[in-house]
Amino acid sequence: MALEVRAERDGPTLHLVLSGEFDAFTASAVSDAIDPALRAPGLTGVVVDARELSFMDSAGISELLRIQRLLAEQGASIRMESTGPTVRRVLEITGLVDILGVQ
Amino acid sequence: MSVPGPTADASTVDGVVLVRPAGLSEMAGIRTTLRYWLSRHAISGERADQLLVVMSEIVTNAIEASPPQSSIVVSWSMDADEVHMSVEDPGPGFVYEETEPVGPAAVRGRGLTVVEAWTDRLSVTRRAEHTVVATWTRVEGTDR
Repeated sequence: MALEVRAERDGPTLHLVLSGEFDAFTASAVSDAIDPALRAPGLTGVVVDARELSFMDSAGISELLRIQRLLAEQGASIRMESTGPTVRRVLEITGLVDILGVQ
Repeated sequence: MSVPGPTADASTVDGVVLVRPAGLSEMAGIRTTLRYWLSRHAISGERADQLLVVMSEIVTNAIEASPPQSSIVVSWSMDADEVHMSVEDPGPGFVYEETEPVGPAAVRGRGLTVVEAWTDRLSVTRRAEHTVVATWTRVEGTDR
């Protein structure tokens, strides 16, 4: 299964919806889809909807951390919503629940 | 890539996948084949998901450590109540034991943390011209 990425700007917030499998092969789909939007003026945060994310490994984590760093550099933040149990456990094990704003 | 399809035989035989050339685009196919094999061994739910993540980590490391256009061999088997998974690549090996501790500032390098959390044993064997990374994970009780 591929990774489907949908990004939609709503005022100062960018909503990112991820569906499918987030691994080393598909991670570039995320950067391709949202990097221009991350540099747009007035952005204060990214909200990631991960409820349809069926798989994520450390390559997905690396991409999310890259986004978090870019946002932090411009005073913005990231928040992850609706993670499934395995994705959440990956984030817990790697100690990133707070850094990635996992709800 | 030579991937055994979800045939009747796949329920009883161990899995061996030759990935040639080794490329990250093959990851999803390997996971699909492994998930089917796990389901035939009544391993599902979160435990199956965890094993798929572990496999993805060690395959990704093998591919990234391999020279271009080389091959890797991915295999898995069940021994009593233990799932054994391994990846052999022709590279110098991902240096798990030489990896620096991953701090909060690191973007990469968290794969080992996940592998160690979801396996009971991990070994890295370097031979003359290839490296084998192997894991063993007990599955019992509510896993099956």
